[in-house]
Amino acid sequence: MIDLQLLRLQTLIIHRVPKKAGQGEAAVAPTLSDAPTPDRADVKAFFQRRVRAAIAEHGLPIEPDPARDHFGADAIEAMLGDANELTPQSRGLAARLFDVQDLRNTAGLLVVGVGTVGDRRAIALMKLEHDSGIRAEERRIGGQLTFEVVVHDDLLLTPHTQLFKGAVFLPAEDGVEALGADLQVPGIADFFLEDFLGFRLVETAAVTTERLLDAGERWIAGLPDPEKQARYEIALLAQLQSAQRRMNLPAFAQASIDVNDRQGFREAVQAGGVRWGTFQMDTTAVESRIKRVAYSFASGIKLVGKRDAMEAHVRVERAGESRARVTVEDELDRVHSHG
Amino acid sequence: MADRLAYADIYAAFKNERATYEKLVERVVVLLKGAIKQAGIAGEVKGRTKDLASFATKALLGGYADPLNEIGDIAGVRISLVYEDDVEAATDLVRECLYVVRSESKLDALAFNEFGYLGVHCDARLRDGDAVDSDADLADRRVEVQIRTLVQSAWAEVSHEKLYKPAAGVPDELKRQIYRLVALVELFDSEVSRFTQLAAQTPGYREAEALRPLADELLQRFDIRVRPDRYLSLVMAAALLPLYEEVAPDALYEEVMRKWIEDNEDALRVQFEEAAALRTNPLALQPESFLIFERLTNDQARLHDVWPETIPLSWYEELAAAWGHGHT
Repeated sequence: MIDLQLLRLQTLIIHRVPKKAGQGEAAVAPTLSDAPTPDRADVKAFFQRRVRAAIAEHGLPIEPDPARDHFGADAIEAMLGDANELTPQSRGLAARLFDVQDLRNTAGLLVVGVGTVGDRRAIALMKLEHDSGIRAEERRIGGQLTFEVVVHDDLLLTPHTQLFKGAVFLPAEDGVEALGADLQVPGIADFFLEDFLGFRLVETAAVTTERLLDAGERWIAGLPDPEKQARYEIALLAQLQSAQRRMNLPAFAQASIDVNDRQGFREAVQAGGVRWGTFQMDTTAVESRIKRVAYSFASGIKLVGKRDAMEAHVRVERAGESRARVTVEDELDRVHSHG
Repeated sequence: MADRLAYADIYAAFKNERATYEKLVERVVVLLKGAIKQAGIAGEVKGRTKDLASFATKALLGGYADPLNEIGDIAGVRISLVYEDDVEAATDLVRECLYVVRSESKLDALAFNEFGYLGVHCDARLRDGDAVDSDADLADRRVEVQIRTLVQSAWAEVSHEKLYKPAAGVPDELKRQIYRLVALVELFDSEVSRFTQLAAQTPGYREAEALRPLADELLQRFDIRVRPDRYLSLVMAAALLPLYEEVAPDALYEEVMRKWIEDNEDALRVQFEEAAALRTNPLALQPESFLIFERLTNDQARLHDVWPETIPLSWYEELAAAWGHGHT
């Protein structure tokens, strides 16, 4: 368990990783720092917050992949073992990042920080890409004071930038404990996770999705109000069946769960082993469980159920022009009424 | 010669006993300090043991047959309260903490057209359970507990110093100058009491008062020397305190926040270090930030729901992200 609220970065080093040269373009190479960046409390605080926010919202547990080479894992372990390894190892990592990137990857920076999470040493690694912004700069033109607006397209990290990949590593009994995050794609981009770091996700998206469905349905079944049970169940299934491949749990809760129930939902999901944030959805393991059939009637009555239960217990017959007779034959479990 | 011998005997007898009385005073001060603090009563508790010469002189001049048992103020403890309204509650606490043999309200001794000192005096002993075996000698010793306001204390000390201590007597017309001040003391306490009651009815006052212990934490535990913005505090307190609907505002700190702050001290320390370095969010170093972080942890959705319209939502989002709890 990595408690990122306790993350403190002590030393940061920054390397520039350019875009790969295309055919016919002049060769380029990374610009590697010889020493850590000057020590400034505001810079460290800024990066601490960005790492914490990114991992909190998008973090996924990752681990070294034995099927990949150990370059990344070895560099991280060396820095975890000795903070003096920061400069040489991070230079190697920046060169490695340049090697694994292709023409689709834009120029940016690799920031590596050595710090602590509580009493454990920690390494934070961030890949930042250029962002743009404008600045009003004071000018005197013809003796008159004016402000010239200048576009800067080489900003590296603004409070709102989403061009960011990151990971945090801590020593663990069996090697390293790590969380990775990618704000640009669902999951974590292969080139960053696999080719650059040599890591893999601890849990597949299909398993996480199944955990969510298990925890969500368990929580819903425990609610005392059948109206809410139905509403939340429909919302959860609709989300899982949607075309979106990314599940943003805070956004889902805000859109679909009543405000007084959200904390309970959040705690239930977390207790089910799902991080409260965004993760890649893969419904292959729960395909049969999320298929539902719903009938809606002009009167406002809705009938929703699993496909196989519907086939076994519901009969729909034509009862005149645009009318239907629906018969449900089942064991009556509960009856509730409101108002 | 007989007097000198008697004085020496009294002096020697008390010298043997004085350490025991000092221990008694120390014990009673600790008991009452704890009780006053836990009850949230503003005031201070101090104690003193009569010095040797003073005791011997009083015993000699008073003609006591058994001065150690007859003089009631050998061990003295004083509770000085900020507010007159707390005198009754403090007296009740003394009765809970000690076995009170006798109590006297000095007000009862005054006619409606008389002014004078208004303290409450209690002659008390430790309760049986508080005089443990090792201190069995404390069990039957008397301690005088005086309960009064800080202003009454000030008047009592000044009058004692100016009227009774001088070796030469003070003429009555001069004494009157000191005695007429006691009417002002009574008026002062009464006006402060009236103000407190009226202020408590002002919208937002109780809520803002609930933030005071949090402001103290910010300064003392986390060493954040930033003067809170009172407007921000009022707006945020009015929005946040209803989220603790089961707790009265004045009990919020003791019942909810104190333990939560202790449990999350390290994480809060990181937050305040970052906020002090960045200075990007005016709320981050306000006392109500404790409430924001606590609600982010335990009921983020409702916190988001009640966020005041007059406070930028981006401040909330920044704090939530900094705390590692996303946006909603």
